[in-house]
Amino acid sequence: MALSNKTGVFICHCGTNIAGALDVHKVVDASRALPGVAYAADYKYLCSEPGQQLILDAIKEHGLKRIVIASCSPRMHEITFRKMLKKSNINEYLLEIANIREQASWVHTDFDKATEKAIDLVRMAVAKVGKSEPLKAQAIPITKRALVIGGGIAGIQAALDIADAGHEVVLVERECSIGGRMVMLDKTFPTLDCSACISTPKMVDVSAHPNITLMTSSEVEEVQGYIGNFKVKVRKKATYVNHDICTGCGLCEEKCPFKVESDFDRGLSKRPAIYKLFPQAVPAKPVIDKDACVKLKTGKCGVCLKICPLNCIDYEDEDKTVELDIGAIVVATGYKPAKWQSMYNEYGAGRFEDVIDGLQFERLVNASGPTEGKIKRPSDGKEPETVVIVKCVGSRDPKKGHAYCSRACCMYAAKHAHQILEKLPGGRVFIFYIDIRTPGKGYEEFYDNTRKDGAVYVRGRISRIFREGDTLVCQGEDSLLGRQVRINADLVVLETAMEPAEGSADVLNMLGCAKNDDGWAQEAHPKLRPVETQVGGVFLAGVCQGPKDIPDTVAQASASAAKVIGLLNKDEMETSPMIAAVAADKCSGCGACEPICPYTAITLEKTPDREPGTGKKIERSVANVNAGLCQGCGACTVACRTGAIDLLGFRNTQILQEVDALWQ
Amino acid sequence: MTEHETLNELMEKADVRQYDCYQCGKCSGGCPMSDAMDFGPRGLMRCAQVGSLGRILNSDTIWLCTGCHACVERCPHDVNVPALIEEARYEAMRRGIKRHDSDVLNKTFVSSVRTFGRNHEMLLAGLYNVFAMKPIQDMASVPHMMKKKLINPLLKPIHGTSEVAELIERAERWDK
Repeated sequence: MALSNKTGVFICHCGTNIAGALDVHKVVDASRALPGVAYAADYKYLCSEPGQQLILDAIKEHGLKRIVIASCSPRMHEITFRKMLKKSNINEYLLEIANIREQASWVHTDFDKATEKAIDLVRMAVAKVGKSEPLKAQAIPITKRALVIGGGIAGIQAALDIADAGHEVVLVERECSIGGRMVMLDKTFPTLDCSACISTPKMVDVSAHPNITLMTSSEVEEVQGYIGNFKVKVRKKATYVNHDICTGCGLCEEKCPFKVESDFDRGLSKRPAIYKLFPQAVPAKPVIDKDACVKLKTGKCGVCLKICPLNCIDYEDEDKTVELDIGAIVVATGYKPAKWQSMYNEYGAGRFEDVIDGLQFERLVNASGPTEGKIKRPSDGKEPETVVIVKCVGSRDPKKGHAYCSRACCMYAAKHAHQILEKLPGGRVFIFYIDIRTPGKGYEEFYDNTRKDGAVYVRGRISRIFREGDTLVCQGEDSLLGRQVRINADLVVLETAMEPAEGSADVLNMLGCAKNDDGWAQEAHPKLRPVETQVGGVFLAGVCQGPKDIPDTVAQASASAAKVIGLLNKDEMETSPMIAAVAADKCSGCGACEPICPYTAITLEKTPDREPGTGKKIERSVANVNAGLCQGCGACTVACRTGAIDLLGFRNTQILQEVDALWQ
Repeated sequence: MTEHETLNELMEKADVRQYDCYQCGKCSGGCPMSDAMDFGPRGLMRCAQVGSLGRILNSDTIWLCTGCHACVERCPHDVNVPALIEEARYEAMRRGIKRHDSDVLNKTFVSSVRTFGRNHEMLLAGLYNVFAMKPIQDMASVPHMMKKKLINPLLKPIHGTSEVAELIERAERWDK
């Protein structure tokens, strides 16, 4: 049965925002004359409570069936008025907003022409609403389990927050221990508390939490589905050690005869082929590095198996794939330090052993690092006297590195200078900088103290580092003096840029999340939706979204946890009914819509049909839209050759009515 | 044309945008001539940013640049300072601005090529020393260089010196 077209038009003054720039009464009069309009009125603030009541009363009194509200942008109050319509007997999708503020009163200075445009906008809205149909939001169930990808401090914090709220969490980490970059650090600015002391208790909390399933040495392999209903495949890599029996006694690590460079110590020490990432690793059980283990490569060794008192070693161990049902996903894949060696030939390109990066310095100065916290040059183990710190290595350099600022370097450079001056009495530190950026609580004070401690800040980017005998000559300009300077350093620390972690692009692609040009995950809105992505149910935590320090990372992790908790607290969620709909009889099954959909919401499905003419039973392909995935962007409706796809709420007929109305 | 417009024209010819430079100083830090220059490449870019064409044209920085391009190679924003210096030199010459012996080498070089069809190092060095009034500069290395056959006292013109001279003449006409 066709719905009546009895339309009510309501014009909002928005104080003087609209009424001051165009003739509202003229718009009301013009609206009354439009076909289908049964009632028209104006009010000072329609969004206010009396304004809404005025509309509800008019609906009752005049038996209105469709509503047009001429006011601000639908982004502002469409939801408000839809909620209002729930109190009436009109379906909330039989509403059309004519934006006469942002699109007329605010942008035009000519009073009469603005009025004319407002009338046009109202006429178009009336024409469109005449073809609108009632829509009903669908409900989809929600699996109450979250997946956190990445076990750094961001992933740990997000997992703990979600688990504390009572939801199940699966934390997936590809290394054999959680902790990420933070546990590699010695102290953290600006309070100088020991990094391990504040992060290892959280790691233990993760392993002990009843709601958290910890999957280390694991990687997410495949993600399918949509918000509330993801199907995730996780590959558990072979560890060759039975962690159910292993007590982590460490005998095997001691006796293993083969050593390789330690990634955790950034190449400054060696570790055995069967190893824990670091002494406080969680889980505190070793794994075998299959690329380093001679037994696995040649079959000749087996020392660890012989020495293990509990027989935990299993050389036959294989990768396993686990399938998980997940409701929400937090991406916390973090960063890696930039490979400066391939960027800067002028800094020696890695030829000089005593030119190290910031993370290597963290290991040098760390009490549990390769030198037990004593600052020694990697080349000869001597204590350096003069240290040069170079900032912005790979950052703020669009030609050789990245255009962006890595945000944390100014502060950790100051921290490094502080640590050098503290540990090396009589030592000298020169910090070469372009700008000093210390926005953060207590940050400027920290920088100020470092300067007063005696660190010499030199404004200029180091141009060249070369070796002269035993020392490294750092040549640059003191741009405040306007003179070239050369500093003979014993150790050079390059504060390198942060880059998206290895493989983070694969994870983001798998999830369908956008990246920016630098590879950082794109948030849904840079200010108002900073932890959401464009993909429903996928949230961001930490550096994977862009360089940040530990306080910001933890704050963002908790923010995304709050979003996940909000989602998982619901049993089911409403989806917008304004999604693509396929008229099966018109669909030719050409599949043009399938690759165009940015949300992989469209699939071709075999549908039983009868052959025209003969009536024989046949099967043919028809496009099918997944309501959970479709975001209502409308790309498919344009691609469809037969016009079989319509965006509900924006049907082709509605849009054409609007266009026709414009030319009346 | 105002000084500002002239500067912009020079920048455009050199294909250098002054606001690409964020004054990090990596250029001056590595410039082999920076110590002898009044501004250095970073300072020169600063002059361009504040619109001080006079300072650029009267500087010795533009004449001391050897064109090694170390600054361009290292510049994070790929600012081609030597290209700007090249244009500034032309403009300074058009205005007849002279800084010590800045134009002596150029002129000696061109006259040598005009006469012999090629550059003659010994003649160039000799004439330069005479005109720049530095008679004994580099003289100590002459015997060593002659022994190593790096320089030749014989003046040997190439075939077709007149064609080369015509080329130079045409280039000079074109420059005007």
